[in-house]
Amino acid sequence: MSQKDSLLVHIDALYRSALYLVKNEHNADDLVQETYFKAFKFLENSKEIGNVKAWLFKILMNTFINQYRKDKREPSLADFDTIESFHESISEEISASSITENEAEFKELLDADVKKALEDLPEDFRMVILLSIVEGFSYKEISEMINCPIGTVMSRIYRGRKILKEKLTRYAKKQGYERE
Amino acid sequence: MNCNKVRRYFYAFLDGELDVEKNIEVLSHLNMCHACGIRIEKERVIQKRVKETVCKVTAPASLEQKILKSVKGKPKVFDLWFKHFLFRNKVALLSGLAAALLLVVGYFVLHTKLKKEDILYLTESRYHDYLMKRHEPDLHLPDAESVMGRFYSQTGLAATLPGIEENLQLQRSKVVAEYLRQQTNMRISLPGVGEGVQIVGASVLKIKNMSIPVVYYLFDNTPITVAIVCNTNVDFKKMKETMVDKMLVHTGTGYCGACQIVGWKEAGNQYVMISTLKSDKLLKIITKV
Ligand SMILES: [Zn+2]
Ligand SMILES: [Zn+2]
Repeated sequence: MSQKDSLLVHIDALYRSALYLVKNEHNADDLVQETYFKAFKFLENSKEIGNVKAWLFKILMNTFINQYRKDKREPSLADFDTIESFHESISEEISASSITENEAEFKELLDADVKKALEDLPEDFRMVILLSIVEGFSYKEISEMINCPIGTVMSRIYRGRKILKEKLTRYAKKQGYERE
Repeated sequence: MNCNKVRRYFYAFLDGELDVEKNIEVLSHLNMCHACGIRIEKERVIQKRVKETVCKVTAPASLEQKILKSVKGKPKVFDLWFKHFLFRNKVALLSGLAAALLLVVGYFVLHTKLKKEDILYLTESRYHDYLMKRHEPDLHLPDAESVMGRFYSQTGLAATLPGIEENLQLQRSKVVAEYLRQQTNMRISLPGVGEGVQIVGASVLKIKNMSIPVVYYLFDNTPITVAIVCNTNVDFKKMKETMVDKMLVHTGTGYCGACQIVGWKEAGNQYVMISTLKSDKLLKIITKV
């Protein structure tokens, strides 16, 4: 396999993340194109890359954060995402956890519901969810990719999934009623 | 562990991020607690559904073609410039310049440590916009073919006449230098460039209250360089000397404090130097003061 091919095998993975990040096909196209442009340029001058997929995703995430983010001046969630507040928020959420979720049947969720729930997540949460759940990167890899401490990554994953679950529970219940 | 504590670790557990000890604790709790078992099963289903849904997306076939087309047969641009600037010394020089010419060659890949307000960072964003065709140069030079066409229709001479390319290149440099002089009051000389590289335009970017002239080049059909002209001066004499690949290399801090100068050479009244911004190489031309 040529060097180019070994990079291009990840095109679907990069594209699906790009699409869920920028939410439109045109920009996703641009974002992936630019990622490869940078990757190929970089390879011209350099040595081997250890984990190609992780490296490509790092370029993609950096490009997204620097160029495509809706409002760059918006303070990052990282500002209040310390490990301390992570633990606090968890204990609060657990005591106040939803009573209704047991009734929901997630298996019957529509793709469109999952897509909507995911797209509605704040960008910072959406990013880590895509990287962890979908692409299976480790928390450490993710923290390097998006330049955040690992505690921040964990807290975002926790909070992101929590929101996702609440939304999907609502959608699933709605599906259930409509069927009855 | 009680239920609340175990649930705290659910996601890390599912993601395989727990250390061995905690992993065992969670597993043994799940073995005896029905409620938590149901909960984690739900989390697993959500995880599976999200993954399935996102993975249904595939890249359009045209995208790979576009990418391959954009990189096909591109020469190692940096090497080319390096050769022309450092070894052949083909730098077109004008005397008494107060401005320094900074040529950014190649592509900055990742500069996460660089502050977002850094001039280089900001200029790189514009370069990106240019590459992505979201930013047009203020000054547009007619492309070579149309100039050649006009030349042919006026003179009846073939455009392949020896020397005509060079002549055209020189004219373009002058047009750009004149434009930038009018806009910024700086006297700027552009270096001569190698075959196949042409100047296509220029802009003056307002970045952090500074006017930064940017010159756009095209190699084949690829936009490859941006030139930034700035008033600066670097003390080369204080740099450390080392040998790298049989080349004498001087190392020191670059003009913005974020980049490192790794090599330089005197050429007339200018210094041609290579610096790196993390792993990204830049070529700069700085005029002696
Ligand atoms: Zn339990
Ligand atoms: Zn610098």
